Amino acid sequence: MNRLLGIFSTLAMTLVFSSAALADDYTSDPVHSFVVFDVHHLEAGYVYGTFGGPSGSVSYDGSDLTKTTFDISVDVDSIDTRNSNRDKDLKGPDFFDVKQFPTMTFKSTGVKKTGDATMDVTGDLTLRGVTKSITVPVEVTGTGKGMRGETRTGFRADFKIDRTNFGMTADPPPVIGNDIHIIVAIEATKQ
Amino acid sequence: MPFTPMQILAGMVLPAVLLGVAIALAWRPWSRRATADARWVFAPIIAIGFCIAYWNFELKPGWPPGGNVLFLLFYFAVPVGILGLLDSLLKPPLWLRAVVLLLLWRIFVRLLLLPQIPRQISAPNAELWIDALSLIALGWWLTFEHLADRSPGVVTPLILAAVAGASAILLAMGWHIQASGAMAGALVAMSIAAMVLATWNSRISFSRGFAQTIVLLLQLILIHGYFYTDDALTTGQQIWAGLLLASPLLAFTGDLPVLRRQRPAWRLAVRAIPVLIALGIVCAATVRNYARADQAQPTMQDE
Repeated sequence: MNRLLGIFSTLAMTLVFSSAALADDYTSDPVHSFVVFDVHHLEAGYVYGTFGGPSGSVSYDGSDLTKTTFDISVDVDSIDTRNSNRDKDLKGPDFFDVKQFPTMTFKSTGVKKTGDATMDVTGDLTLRGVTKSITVPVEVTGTGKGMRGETRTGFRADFKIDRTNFGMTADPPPVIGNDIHIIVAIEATKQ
Repeated sequence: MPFTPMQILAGMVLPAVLLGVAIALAWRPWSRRATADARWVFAPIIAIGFCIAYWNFELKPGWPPGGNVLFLLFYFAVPVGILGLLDSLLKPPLWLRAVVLLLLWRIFVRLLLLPQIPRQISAPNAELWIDALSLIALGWWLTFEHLADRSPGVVTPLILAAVAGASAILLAMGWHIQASGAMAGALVAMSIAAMVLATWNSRISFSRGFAQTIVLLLQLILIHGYFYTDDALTTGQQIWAGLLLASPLLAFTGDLPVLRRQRPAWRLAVRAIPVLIALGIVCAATVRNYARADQAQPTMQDE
């Protein structure tokens, strides 16, 4: 009997502690989330563009950032550089090839805490059918309450990728630089 | 200029030089004596030239090719080259050539469309497209084979160069695929090389090898471009594509009975001019639409 009680109490304690350690689930709010990029053009100025708000889920625990996970998806067809010819070039097979690869995704595989509200997130970025592991610095930009009392947390990543690693080799430098500077800003709602 | 001078040299000029040298060595246009039939030289060299162009302008082909439909353009050049080589060496009858071409083309088109079925194209519609595109390929093939048989000399490479040139403009500026436009440009360069040598010696025959290989490779690029360009094409763009596809038929004006006793130069003009006018309309409309879109003020998308 004592042995049975022991097993039950151990099981109960495990359940209590594991639920306390679970991160909260968040969903990205595409209306208040952004993907912005810029790229060097003719080694002179920069061209800027945006994608429609990223969708996906975030698991976040403010007390232990290493438990944070990201599973984010971006609709590539939403690219906008404020010039229709350029947008069509970018959506075509020379660049993003949206008919064949309509989304780009990022799935985190590991997190290393670098500060109170900063972390290096390693994950698989899939773009144009090519998956590469990248590490991006992510900042937790804050937590607040929404109009309906829901909890919202912001995340911001600022990083560069080499487009040739993802098969985008058209218009090589000096026409378009290989390094793409990307800012991903996500406002996620706690579920 | 979206391409570097090195890309243009290696991707367009090199295939043309390669083909020109191969034709010169095989056909010996300087020789007054009749040389043996050397049509076997065309298909393999054009296929190699196309692969060189692909290597310079497109993403390097991966293996297996299923990872990206673009890789298929590179790998399809191999069977197209082999088909042309067998055609010139074995000289099978027309019906057998047509059947083999139709079977091969149905496989090619199906594989090209596969990533879009059923997301963008329903399975029944895909079957219709496969049938229609196979018939168009057969139509082009018959047209150019007939032209090459009936009118040896510059007619076939001239009209193929014009059709490939208009396709290059349509692909790059109308459908926004510059790399495919550049590959069509490589086909233009190879056709011009053949045309120059045909001007030198009109004994060079372009049936069973040259016309077939250029036609099939150009069709491949056009089919890929049509289905993988960024968005739904406007009615105008569809009309220009239709006119481009129909334009080779205008070369049959040279077969009109009233022209039978005319001089060859006159008949060449009657064949080429209607085709060039039709292609000119396609190019002018495409360039005008591109320029209009570029001049339009950028506007923020609706909220």
